[in-house]
Amino acid sequence: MRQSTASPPVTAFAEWRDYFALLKPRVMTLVVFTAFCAMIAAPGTLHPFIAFTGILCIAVAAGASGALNQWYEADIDALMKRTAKRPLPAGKMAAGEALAFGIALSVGSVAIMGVALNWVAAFWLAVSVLFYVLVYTVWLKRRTPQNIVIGGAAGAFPVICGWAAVTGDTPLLAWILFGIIFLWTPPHFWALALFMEADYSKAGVPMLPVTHGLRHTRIQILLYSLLLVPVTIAPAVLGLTGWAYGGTAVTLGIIFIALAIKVWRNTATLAADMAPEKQLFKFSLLYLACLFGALVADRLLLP
Amino acid sequence: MIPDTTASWTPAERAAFARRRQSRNLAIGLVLGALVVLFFGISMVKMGPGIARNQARAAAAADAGKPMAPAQP
Repeated sequence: MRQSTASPPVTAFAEWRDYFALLKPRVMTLVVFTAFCAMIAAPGTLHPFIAFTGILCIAVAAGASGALNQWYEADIDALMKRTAKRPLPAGKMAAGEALAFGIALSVGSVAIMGVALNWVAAFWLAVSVLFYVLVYTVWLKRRTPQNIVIGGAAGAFPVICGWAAVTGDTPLLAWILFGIIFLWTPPHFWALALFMEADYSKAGVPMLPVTHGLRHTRIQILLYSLLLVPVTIAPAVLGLTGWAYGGTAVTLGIIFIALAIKVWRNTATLAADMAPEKQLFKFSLLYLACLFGALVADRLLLP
Repeated sequence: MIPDTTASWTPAERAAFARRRQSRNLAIGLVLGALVVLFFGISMVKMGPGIARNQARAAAAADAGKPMAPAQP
């Protein structure tokens, strides 16, 4: 177990802000948003308080995964500028506290999800935490440059949880939404990894730009973008959603591929010259938000 | 974790430690309060309709002067 030994005595008693930071609130935002959209898109109704409880459980479970991830990765977090100020590498908290916090929140959120909503949703919530912590963080992140692809699956499970919370099952559309986040993650994070390559290299994390070079990463970004767009259009083609979603998916998909092509054509090696990569990274956030927003609009506004 | 070196702390370090502990205790209190509200809300939503139904049946049975029939599953 990693134990912070360099922390001064005063900082050894962690503040509430440090626990909050362990939950990776920014990552949680995306998880909550996609799960919320899945809950609205799923056929059926929930009492608003129970729906709120479901979202809370998904958010807390995502936060717990983040806490367990930070507990395990404190050593590499200390090496990267982006993560060095996190509570564990900064010596603001003992490692054991972060571990206990993560386990307590994971178990609590799964149990409440099961009791308040249903055990199918609770099962997928438990799978999402275990997948993120054991398969992604412990097993694959430091072993394969495809770590981001695996991490994408972990980030996609909340959609399944949100859908199952309403219906108690996981039909085709729920798994297509899972596929969208799964395929969206590699171009999104590799675009970031391209202009943050030096940071990952320093920490020894086998990110694709570090292990296979910038050219190969740009090709992979384009390939995943070409796979992503048809999957986003699939719900409309299969008649699972209406034209509002389909039109949005096609329009945004064209822009996404155009930006991925710009990245593919870029040959820059310095972060300062990687404007297309930064553009794709920023657009990918907007892309996912608009796509899921369109799904909700499609369900709410159209008969 | 409370370190065993508290004796060597300066007054400023003691004050900072007390401030951290107070803010954390307050946060724990708020979280516990929120859990009480959450469990109460879940209980009301899940069991409220059943309780209301039983009360209505009891009232109807009392009006008719008969003992209340056992609840249907």
